[in-house]
Amino acid sequence: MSAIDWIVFFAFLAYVVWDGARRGAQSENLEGYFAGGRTIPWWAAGLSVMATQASAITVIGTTGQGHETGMEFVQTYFGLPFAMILLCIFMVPLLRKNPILTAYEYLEGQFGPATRTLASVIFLISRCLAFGVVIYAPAVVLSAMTGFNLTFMVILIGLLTTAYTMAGGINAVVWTDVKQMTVIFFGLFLCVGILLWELLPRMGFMDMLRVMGASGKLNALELQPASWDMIPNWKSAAGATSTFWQDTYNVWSGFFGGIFLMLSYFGCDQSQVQRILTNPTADESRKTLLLSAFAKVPMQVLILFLGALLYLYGTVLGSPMLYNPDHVALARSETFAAQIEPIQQRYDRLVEERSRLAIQLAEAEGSPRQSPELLARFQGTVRQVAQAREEARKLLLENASENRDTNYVFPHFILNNLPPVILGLLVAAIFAAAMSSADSALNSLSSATIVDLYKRWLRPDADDAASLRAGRLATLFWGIAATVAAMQFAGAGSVVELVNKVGSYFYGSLLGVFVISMISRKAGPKAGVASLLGGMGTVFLIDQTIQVAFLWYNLFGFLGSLAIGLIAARFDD
Amino acid sequence: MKKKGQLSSKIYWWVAVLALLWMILLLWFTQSFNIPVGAVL
Repeated sequence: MSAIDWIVFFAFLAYVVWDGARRGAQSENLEGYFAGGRTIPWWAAGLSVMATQASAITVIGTTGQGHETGMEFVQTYFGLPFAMILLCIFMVPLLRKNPILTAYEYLEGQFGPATRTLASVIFLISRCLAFGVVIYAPAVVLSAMTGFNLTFMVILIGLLTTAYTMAGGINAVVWTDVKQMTVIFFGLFLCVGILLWELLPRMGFMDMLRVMGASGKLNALELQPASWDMIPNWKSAAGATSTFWQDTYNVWSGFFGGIFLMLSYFGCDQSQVQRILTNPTADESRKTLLLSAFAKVPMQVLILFLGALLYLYGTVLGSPMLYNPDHVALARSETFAAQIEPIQQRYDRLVEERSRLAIQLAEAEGSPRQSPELLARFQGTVRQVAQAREEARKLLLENASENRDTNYVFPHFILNNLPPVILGLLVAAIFAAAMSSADSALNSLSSATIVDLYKRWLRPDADDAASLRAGRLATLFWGIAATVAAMQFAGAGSVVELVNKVGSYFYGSLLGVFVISMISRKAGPKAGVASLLGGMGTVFLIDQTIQVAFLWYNLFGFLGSLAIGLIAARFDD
Repeated sequence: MKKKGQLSSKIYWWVAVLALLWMILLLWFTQSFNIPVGAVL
């Protein structure tokens, strides 16, 4: 990065921190600090909802996924618009009936303090761990891009986000998210534009689609899952034929599994619910949710299409064998240089062949299916190129399958192809995506701590000034805790996966307890606690015994929570 | 009676229809262009 890029990057960071911190004056009490005084317009809260969900890993990881496995990941979002409609109709009236500050505060009305506290503690545990990942994962990539030390990068993200969130509360979160989301959108559109600019002189747009399709990257909707076998495999049956429940990305798991994930995430996770509590009216809260319902699927299509375009760019103009700078350095080391050389030579030959065949395919009349021989040769080289990359990674790394370089594909492109100023802005956009997810997590952790624990149990009589002070201290505490947790993740890649898995243990249960409150007047304290614990127990049992893709955990957790909660409701007075 | 500025329930139908249209478009897109690698080998 050149000096001008660094200036743009740091100027953007300084602006965000200043813009967030100055909003502290609007937070005179807890309602101001955690709910923005219920004055935030729907469009700002809606953009903030999208910015929170679009973490830096969404931006760099999803483009990488588009490059590696195509557009199939978009199917995970098919349930989202329908989940938002259900939330608008059933959940918003519940959450906006009384002026509550956390989603769990609502639960006390029907289930009593134990359920509220348990739900809040479950949220705090899962969100704190996930928060560490939100800082750690992009810090790894940003440190590789900027050359900064990983620990320094973790501290920079953690410190800056904590500083403005602590000072400005939810107002800072929402209004900085608006700017961050704008920069993210701008960056994404710009990259698509630059890629098209580079590729269009070489082939027409329809030819691009044909070559990307022939590479298997335009697999946006799979009606046919890998298997229709509905009897799940036991955990012990390793190597058995895959079942319907193990296929992660198809329209069925995306729609039916995804809808429960989205209902839980947007309806029960305080880091999202908090946003719909900041609007002046229930209808404004509905519009906040509907913005994502309208925009999220097209946004994911754009990000994944960008990834597929990156693949085409590499196909036509050449692409490196290794994207992760650490892997490149390892390949150049004395230990591996001699062994890597023949793979590199084979890879270079294959890439050249793939480029030649891609141009021929683009120039051929009609669909590639009409030139079966050419298509078969092209797909053969596509497969061999992927095999050569895998072979190189296996040689360099003990656990090559866990150490894929998906997250480095997009950063590699922007570092090597973008002009000065724009490059600085794009790196700032990735940093912004990290901060816009971290700030929401931070403010929601602080709100659950203060509203559900401190004000409920420790200091119910605390005045506005004392509560606000406690809120800021809680923000500082969680900011430091997550930054320290993120530093501990360094060198333990599998921890990230584990943490993501832990989150899906809780979501179905939280949704279950909210749904019980809607359908059963009789359900009380026993039903609330049993429902939360029962849902988590169900997911634990399933995770230990059968092989199921993660999207289904939410559905099973929800069903377990609902069934056990409704049975327990019979024992409530 | 619906107040001025109140959200109409028609919006939910619009969201649902638009989401279904996206799915149909992406299905058409996949079936028109995508050829899984290995499908013709």
